[in-house]
Amino acid sequence: MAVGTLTKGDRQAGRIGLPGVYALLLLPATALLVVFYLLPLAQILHVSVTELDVDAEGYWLGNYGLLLTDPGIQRMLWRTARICVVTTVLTVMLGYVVAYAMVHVQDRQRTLMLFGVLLTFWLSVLIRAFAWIILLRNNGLAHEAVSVLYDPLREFGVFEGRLRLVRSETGVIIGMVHFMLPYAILPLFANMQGIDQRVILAARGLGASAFGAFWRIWLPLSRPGVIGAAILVFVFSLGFFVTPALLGGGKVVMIAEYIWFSMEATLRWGLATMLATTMLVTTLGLILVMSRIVDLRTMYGAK
Amino acid sequence: MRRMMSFREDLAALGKELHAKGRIDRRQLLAGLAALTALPAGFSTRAFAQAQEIVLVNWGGDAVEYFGVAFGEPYTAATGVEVVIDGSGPSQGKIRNMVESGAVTWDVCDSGGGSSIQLGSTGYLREIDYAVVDRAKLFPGFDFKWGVTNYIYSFVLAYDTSEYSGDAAPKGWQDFFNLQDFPGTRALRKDVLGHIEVALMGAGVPMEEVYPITPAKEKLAWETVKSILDDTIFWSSGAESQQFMRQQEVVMGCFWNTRTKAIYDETDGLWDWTWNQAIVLPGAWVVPKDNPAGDAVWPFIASMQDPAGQVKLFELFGNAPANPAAAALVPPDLKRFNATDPENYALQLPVDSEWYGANSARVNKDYLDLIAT
Repeated sequence: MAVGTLTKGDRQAGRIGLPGVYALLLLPATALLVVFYLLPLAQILHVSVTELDVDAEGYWLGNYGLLLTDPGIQRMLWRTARICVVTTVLTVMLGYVVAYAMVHVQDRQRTLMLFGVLLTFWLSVLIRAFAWIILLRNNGLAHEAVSVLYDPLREFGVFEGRLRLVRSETGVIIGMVHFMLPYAILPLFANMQGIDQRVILAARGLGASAFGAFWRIWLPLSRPGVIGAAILVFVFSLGFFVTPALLGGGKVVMIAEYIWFSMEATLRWGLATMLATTMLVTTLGLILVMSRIVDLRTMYGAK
Repeated sequence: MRRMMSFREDLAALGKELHAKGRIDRRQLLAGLAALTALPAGFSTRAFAQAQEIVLVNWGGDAVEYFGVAFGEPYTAATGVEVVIDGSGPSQGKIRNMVESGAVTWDVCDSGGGSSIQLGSTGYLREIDYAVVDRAKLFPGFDFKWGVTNYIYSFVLAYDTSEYSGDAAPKGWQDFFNLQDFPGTRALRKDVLGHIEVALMGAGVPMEEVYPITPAKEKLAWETVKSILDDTIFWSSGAESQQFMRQQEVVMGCFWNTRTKAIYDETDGLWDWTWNQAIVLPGAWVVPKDNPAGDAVWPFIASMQDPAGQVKLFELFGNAPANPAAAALVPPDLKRFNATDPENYALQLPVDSEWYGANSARVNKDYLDLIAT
């Protein structure tokens, strides 16, 4: 299907087994991972089953029983999932448009667009959050602009309450979508570059309308890219801390902040490590399920 | 990664901010930071310790350098003991981790009254040696088993005077929780400390009846907070609370008096506050279990009880002296800003640190669950 950088022969060599020297080269990285990642991770797992939270006493499932019984934790998990899903859907939709444009423009423009996308990587998440606060706060530039549309609709009863773009869940989603866009655009772009543009010409030649060719040919071919971008954005969103804390007015508490709070402020490490483990397992589970649906290598343009 | 600031961390940050804006010069800043851990003039050498080094842990930034220049070097000159300043931020989680791992490298840490009890009662701190540290130089109830109050701050009701001026100003927490007569967005802190008291007074409980906190009162406090939740936003760091005021994102809030004072100065009184029903809280030095310098920390901590140093600190940063004798040394024109001035102190409620030490792990989670919508 797509033309990748590896030839068929290269891949087969990889499957047979790495020559010894390559295995040696992997050793330092593996050792680092084991010492600084896997061991602490094992400790977290250990604490999550050995240090019983005060609220979890008498539970057969220990701290993990809190997932089933604690309404505060359940609401937090639901909130996290909801925000991540909304963020993912919006980010992938917006990212798709940009990626689609990028594969169709001239080389010069593509370079500029790629530069624009990569540029955002150099801005700290804090600076971006503060920029959004300034734009979105009451009397801020964006707030004023949206009010022009919002206020008449509010008169007609379409919306209730004052427009609050920041210090709210709306603000958190705006900030997160903005942060996540490059993570959606790049895998989508990589995937779309692998799509042979001639198939669209062929479809048009055989009588498909412009939209029909997109809908029936291009969109299905870009499906692995969409799924790949969606997983990447969703998994990243799960761990968001700074953006919800700043743009949410203190009220949009997601799992990462909840874990931090339980580690540092309340010293409830059993609870914190249980949530961390739950998050890890959920993430791995998601990736596993997705790997069954699509070939992970296709998604990120590696095949 | 961003985290909630302790009050002391906030103080150091505030000092730097004022310095950056030219409101205090570098020498004043240095002097103030020195006064944070002031060494009394004429501190006499006593043969306390075999220890050659004391590690003082604060909340980082330029304060590390300033503490070293202003405090470490004179102490070394007087006693021969090296003072190392470590700015890695002694959060409860970090202290616990260090003691549990058995590799304690910290001697004196910045903490708070309630935290000292929470950490101390679970076995992570040393009991304070009150044979060396002087209880008489502390307000009653501010001498903790595992912590020594080093200065005092308050949660005050602050308000935007362009919204409410003169007699229209909110006068206590009942007004704060009254959305009918005082509409607009307000701010609370995203941490329960002092806020159960605030909510109870908001519900009409008289100040002297706030304690003891019972389960029924807890419930009342949660209901009271819930009643204004749609119109309330929550701050984590002192800088964030200032942003709420400066940008007029809120019409009133429950803020640290130091941060409010800074905004009061900066805006020429656009923001003002009342001491009425404010909650008074202690910052505290704590000593982790198995600290490397051993008993050498006690004279070091005792040295910070000197009133002159505490007054100097107050003049620069607005935090209040922990030593009751210091109030008299405050210049008359600054008395109204001093949380521990007898006149102001009488209006406020000293926090029950013992209760928070025993209950904060539980109620802080309940509070977070409540405010997260």
